[in-house]
Amino acid sequence: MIRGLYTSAWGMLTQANVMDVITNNLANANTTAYKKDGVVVKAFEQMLTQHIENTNNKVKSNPSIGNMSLGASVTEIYTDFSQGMIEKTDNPLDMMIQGPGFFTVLSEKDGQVRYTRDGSFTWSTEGYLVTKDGDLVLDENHNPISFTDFKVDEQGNLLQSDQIIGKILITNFSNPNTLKKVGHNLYEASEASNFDNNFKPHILQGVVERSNVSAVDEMINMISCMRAYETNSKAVKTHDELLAKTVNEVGKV
Amino acid sequence: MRALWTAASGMKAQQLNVDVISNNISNINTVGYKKQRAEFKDMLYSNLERVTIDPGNGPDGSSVQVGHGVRPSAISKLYSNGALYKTDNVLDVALDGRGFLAVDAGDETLYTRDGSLKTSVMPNGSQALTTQDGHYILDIENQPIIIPNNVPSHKITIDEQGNVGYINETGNSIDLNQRLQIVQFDNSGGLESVGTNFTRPTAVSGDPIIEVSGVDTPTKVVQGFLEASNVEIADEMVNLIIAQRAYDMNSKAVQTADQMMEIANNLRR
Repeated sequence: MIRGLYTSAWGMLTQANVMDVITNNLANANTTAYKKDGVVVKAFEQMLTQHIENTNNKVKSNPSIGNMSLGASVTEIYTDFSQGMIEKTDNPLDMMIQGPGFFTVLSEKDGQVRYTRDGSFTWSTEGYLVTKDGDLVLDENHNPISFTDFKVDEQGNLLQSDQIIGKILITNFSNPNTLKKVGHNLYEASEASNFDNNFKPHILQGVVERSNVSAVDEMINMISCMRAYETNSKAVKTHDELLAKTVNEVGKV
Repeated sequence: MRALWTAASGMKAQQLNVDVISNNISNINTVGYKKQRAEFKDMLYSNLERVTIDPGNGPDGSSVQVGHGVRPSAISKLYSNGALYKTDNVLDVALDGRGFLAVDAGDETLYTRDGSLKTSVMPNGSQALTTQDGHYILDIENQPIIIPNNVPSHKITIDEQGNVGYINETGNSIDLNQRLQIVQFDNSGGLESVGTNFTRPTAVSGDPIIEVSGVDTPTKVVQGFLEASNVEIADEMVNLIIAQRAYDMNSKAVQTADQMMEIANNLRR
């Protein structure tokens, strides 16, 4: 009975974690180039259950009854990198990558290289191309970009009066699921991330990428999560009443 | 409970439907626009009980299958002709038939029904016939159509087969021996739209067939007219109402599934 109580309580906790991920997705339904998170919930390892003592045929044996699982937990929170919708802004400093790839930026705070899909850039006071947070956008030589008034073609070349003056650095990874979200629309690569060097980006200028959150999907997940939470809470209540009966009424004189 | 996800697929399908309809409505005044329609398919079915024909020993030949919702199968373009309306612009042409004009788009040839043409100056100084955004219209030799520099644009003539000429100072019409390249496709519905009224041929549409080599139904070129979009506003408004009500009904299904789960949870107070 106590085991059942913890199983149900763990179930409620799991659904609460799932709910956290869903509400984060919904809160970012309008964030530029936001990639939604999904949750994987798996059952715990199954535990072998056995008879304590089976006195059939006057021979002691412990035949196993079967396997029992002790609940479920969140095993993985993955990021879904599917393409978001295009939003036309006609701002020449807004860019979007169609397909895989990330803009490469140098973070202002710690000097580390980070990656982002958010292409809504602006000019810093020193005249460099930066993200809205002030992180420098890097070109192919890992230098900040300081040209004014350029056009960007489909491969990311910067054109000024039809002359190529540079190229935006677009990094692609063969396993983007190793990227970690670090806030401010930025991703951090880990040692396990493999850079894909034979990569041809496809860039559009004057548009931004919308969030890939589908409100309908998140609402349905939320309803399902809430009902699972409710069911688990009823199970907790039932365990509680069984325990109450045991404790209060069984030993009554 | 499958109903939640089935109804969600219905809501997403209607969202796509409304997207397509609103695109049609926004392009109601675009020259040469062809309306689109979203088509849907039902999703795979799971067998709750298999069909068997085993008299006396099992289910009696009727199956119990449950579907999993709907998904979009195609967004098809409908190539019916739009109405032709008269403009007073000599360089507007309408294509009465199934043909497309060929346009030079840099490294490839694109095709369009948009006949609102103008003249532009080429880098070598001569005057050429182009689309409104400056792409050269091609003749049957795949070359841009050059108009002599001393000819003003309002004297240019284009006859029914697409032969380009002009009227000179004495009032005689001179033929420039250049003819508009008009092509047809076996399957216009397979063309890929690339935006700005241009389409690109694909494996599904087939290769362009130049009309001058002889087709069953040649296209007539009408100068001074433009082809309106083939969007019927009444149809689109009715489809919009249907899509909205379908979305509404699917959301009711979601609410009902939710309430049923609530009842199940409240069996134990």
